[in-house]
Amino acid sequence: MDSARADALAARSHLAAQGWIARSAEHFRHLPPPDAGVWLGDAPDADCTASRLEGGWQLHPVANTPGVSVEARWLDAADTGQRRELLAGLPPPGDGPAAPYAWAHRALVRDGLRLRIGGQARDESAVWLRLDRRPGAPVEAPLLVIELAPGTRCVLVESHERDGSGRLCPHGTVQNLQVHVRLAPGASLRHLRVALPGADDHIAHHVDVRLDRDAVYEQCLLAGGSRYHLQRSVLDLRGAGAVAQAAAVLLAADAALDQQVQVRHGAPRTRSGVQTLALGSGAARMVANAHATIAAGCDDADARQRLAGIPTAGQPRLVLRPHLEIHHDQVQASHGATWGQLPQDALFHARQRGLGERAAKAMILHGLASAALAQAVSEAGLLEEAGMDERLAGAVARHLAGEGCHG
Amino acid sequence: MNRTEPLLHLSGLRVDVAERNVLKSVSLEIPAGALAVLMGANGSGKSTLGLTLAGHPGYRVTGGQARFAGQDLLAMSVEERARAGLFLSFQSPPDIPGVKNNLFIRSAVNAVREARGEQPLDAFDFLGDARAAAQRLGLPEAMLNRPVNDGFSGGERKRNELLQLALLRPRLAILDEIDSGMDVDGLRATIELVQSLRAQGTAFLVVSHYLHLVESLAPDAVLRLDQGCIAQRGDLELAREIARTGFARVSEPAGA
Repeated sequence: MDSARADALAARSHLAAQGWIARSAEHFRHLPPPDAGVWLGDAPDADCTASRLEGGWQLHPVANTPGVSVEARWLDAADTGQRRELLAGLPPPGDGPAAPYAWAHRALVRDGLRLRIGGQARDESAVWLRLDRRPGAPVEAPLLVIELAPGTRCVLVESHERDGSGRLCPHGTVQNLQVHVRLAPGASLRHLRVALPGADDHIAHHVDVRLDRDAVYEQCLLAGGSRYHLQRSVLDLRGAGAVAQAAAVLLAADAALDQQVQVRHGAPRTRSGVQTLALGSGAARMVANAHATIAAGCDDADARQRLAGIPTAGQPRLVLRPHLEIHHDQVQASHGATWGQLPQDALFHARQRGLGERAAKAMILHGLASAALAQAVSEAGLLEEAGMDERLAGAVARHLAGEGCHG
Repeated sequence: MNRTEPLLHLSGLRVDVAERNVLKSVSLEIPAGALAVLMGANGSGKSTLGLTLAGHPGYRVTGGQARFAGQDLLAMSVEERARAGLFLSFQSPPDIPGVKNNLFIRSAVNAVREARGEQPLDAFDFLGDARAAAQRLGLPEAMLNRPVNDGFSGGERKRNELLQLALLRPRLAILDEIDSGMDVDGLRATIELVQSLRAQGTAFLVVSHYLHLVESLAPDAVLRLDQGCIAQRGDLELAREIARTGFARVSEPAGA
């Protein structure tokens, strides 16, 4: 037996011995994930019966940026040598709260992409990349590794959207994605993520980010609900002066969506911010977890969390969970969670100017969502330039159209 | 609309807010192109009248009639009233985070134009109109590109309301304390805009406590609202009397 297969089997065996995430597990208890069999392809939850789909990673450099190099390696984890290269330097699945997902991923991973981005543009502009992912198999565990060299600046638009053309499988698929981001000293990544799965999909995305000294990570996430959808990010601020901002807009109509952002402050002068706006309708089940830990010795660390939930129609279940764990005195931290209606005064104002109720609602929701996402990016106009704003408008419109089904 | 019918005709309008009766019986008429000033003590129901006519869901009409441009105003939705040409300038205009001012106003203008059977304005044409109007009102052009009222001062919010008024060109504009928070230049711009729109046929119902503004607007009628009724009708002299003696001194019976 080759070592790639042995490694996969060992992971599967470890998962079987360790067991899946307990329904009572603190991080997952509000929206327990489907069992291991779903993620391993053992259970019949993936409706798609095709053996292989024409998906995978597609990388599009938006423009050539002199002085910056982008090295992309598509690797096959079934090949021993390529598997070694693909997993090089990545942490073992471990025993954290989401470790079973990592073991399931290790057991099933087949394809991966490693991006190494280095150098600096003369005018200090960022290199722009667009990365699209379509399902490559009915049940898949893709891997993405992004490494930025010291001082490198990058804008990455990463999209996971079901193809509306019908070329790909219209049935529900299962995707357990692991993303590892490594930012060297002074590197900066603006990570604009779109995850809008099909209604029957099972999705679990795990984004693990490690920031070295003075590195900056800004994540904007636009995510839609599905049969099960988990978006989990771990932001590890290891280097002094590192900054991580994560903003998300979550949309779910009669669907499930769980967002977890875990921030670890491990060095002085680190700063983090987590902003989430959850818009739910019908019988949606949504959870937004923000958990920040500030370790001892983190002088002048700053952690902010602001979670908001707005039911747009029906009776969705919105759970907002800000949480701070502080082990040092000389820090600043704040957290808050607000549930509320759409701003009725703004809605009335817009209608008084002649906008129909639905158009007014769409405009206001889009505005709120756009403002929420903009909290994470330090550069004005970036979301528009990257097309995020347009996608957001479309997602909000679809969300409101979905409301029509249940009033 | 009948040629002799006023643009706005209220008859015995009774309004409750949160189970409390605020307007007992309001009757008034505003012909097309006319300007009426509505005065009254704090809490007399001036803002309630404006919000009720605009169709605010928190204001429940429990009696009376309201006709606007020959139609039953009370049977119309909020947006139908706006599209028919009824404009309310808010006393406290709300901010709308993330929605750019120029997009908001252009959407509104085009919704109204569509209702009138007119072609929508494209972004270029609209921006030209909006920039010119903003300049006349002393509103910095940069505010067109900012979210609606986000970070605006009180006076800037009022100017922004006037910008919407200038671009929407309604048949009837209800200005609820448009002068509050406004500086001298803003007041001058307000007066010029009102005069300009009146010349084009827009009627006004202006709520104000400020005699200088009232005098500058040269109203056709001055109305005093008291205890939920139009207690007094007159001309500029009534506004001057109120300014001299205050509301407490004037105590004619309701409906006089």
